[in-house]
Amino acid sequence: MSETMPYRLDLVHVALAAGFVVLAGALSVGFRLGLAKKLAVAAVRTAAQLALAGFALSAVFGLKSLPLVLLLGLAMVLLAGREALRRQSVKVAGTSFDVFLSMTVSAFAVSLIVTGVIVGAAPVWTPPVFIPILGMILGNSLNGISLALDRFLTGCVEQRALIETRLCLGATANEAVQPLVRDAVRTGMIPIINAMAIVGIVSLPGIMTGQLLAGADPRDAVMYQVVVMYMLAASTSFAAAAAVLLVRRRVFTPEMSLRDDLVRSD
Amino acid sequence: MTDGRRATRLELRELVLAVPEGAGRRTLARDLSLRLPAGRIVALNGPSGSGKSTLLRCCIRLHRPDHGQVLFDGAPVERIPPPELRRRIAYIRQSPAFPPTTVVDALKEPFRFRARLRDTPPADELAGRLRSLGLPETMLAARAPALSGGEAQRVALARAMLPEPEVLLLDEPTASLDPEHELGIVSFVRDWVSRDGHSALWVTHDRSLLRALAVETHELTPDGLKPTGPGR
Repeated sequence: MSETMPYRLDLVHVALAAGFVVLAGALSVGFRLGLAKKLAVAAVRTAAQLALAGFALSAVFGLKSLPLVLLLGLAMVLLAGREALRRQSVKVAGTSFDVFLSMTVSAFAVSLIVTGVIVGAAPVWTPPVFIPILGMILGNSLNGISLALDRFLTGCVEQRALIETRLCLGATANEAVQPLVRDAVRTGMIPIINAMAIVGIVSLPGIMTGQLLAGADPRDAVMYQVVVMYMLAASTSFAAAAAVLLVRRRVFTPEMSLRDDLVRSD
Repeated sequence: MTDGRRATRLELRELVLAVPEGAGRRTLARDLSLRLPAGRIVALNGPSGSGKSTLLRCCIRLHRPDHGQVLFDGAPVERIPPPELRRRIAYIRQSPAFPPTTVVDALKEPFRFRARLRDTPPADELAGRLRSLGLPETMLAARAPALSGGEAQRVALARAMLPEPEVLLLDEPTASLDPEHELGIVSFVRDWVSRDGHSALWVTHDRSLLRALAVETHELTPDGLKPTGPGR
């Protein structure tokens, strides 16, 4: 695609753009926000991380081995899962396994369907198609899972009396937290549904903007974007629901009572 | 299994109660043994933190005793699936909790659970249950979490009775009530216990309520349950 890219950028252009950061830094100094140093570090990190990602992607896109691509995919799942877990204010033993499992299954299943069936890449794991799609899915699943799980687990802590009351009235463990499960999965799905509602009107997402700047036909860019939104809706919903349903069993003892050690740690 | 001619509904055998504390466990009380016969109310008293609520929670498997056994109709409670056990033995918490709904929906909630034995009661039955506890039927339309302490305790009692339990575990059920309504609850429970082999274990530390109840009373001490009441 780079051969057809109408407006190529090189280091001089990037250096020019760094002027924006200098402006933001001047603002921080002027208003004594104390953010100039943080901003500088963040700007350097942005360039360094993206440069590293660029090198890594060049290497990854050249991969010809299925096991290596799978390994890379799993590493991405592990990183995304770790981030989703880090955002939880209620820690429950065993949750990490549930998060990794729901992420792996939903992200791999949807990515493979998109690359293989919809885009029609052959082989299905062709790195320049499979890896970016997996990455997009993981980024969104991470948000969905962390929002849904946090809602569920903090709900279990905050609504302990109500959950116990339901148990005392003869509810099974699943029945006692059913309203909370629904609420949590809904919380995990809302950001992607909101994004779908405003896409193209309020926001032009990164993949579409990128394709347009790279000189793609707007029709193609739109088709890709629609596919991407649909796949994100499916994978995020599935990952959030699976994670909450898997974690649900961990908040109860075998006697169907809420565990004593459920506490918020923030 | 019998106390005189009465069958024992609930029996505690040498329970040891402990709660998690730091990395270990703190023992609240040991050697707790008690029989709750059919047709009787038995009262438990003791200072705050002595383990009264924990003892009630052991009866419905919300808390596992560190030692000892709880029997319901002669069977160890561990052999009864928790939803069935908790439908047959109703536990009324000291501070009732309600879903963010109206009272009528809160009363109907237990009938959505699989362990229910009957269909959702009709509105006139629900209204009748409230009236029998001194509450107006207009309360059905009130928001359940907004009820006052005394109203909430009576609505919680009505909700616990609707699925037709066999034994009641009452944890300070009249703590927020004035004396008139307190006596109303006492006669309500007495009347219920006098029928169909029901029985109730009533936790309170209110001396005047214990006098009004005038039933077999035990004090929960760290070394066991000591009979203190009329011991009928």
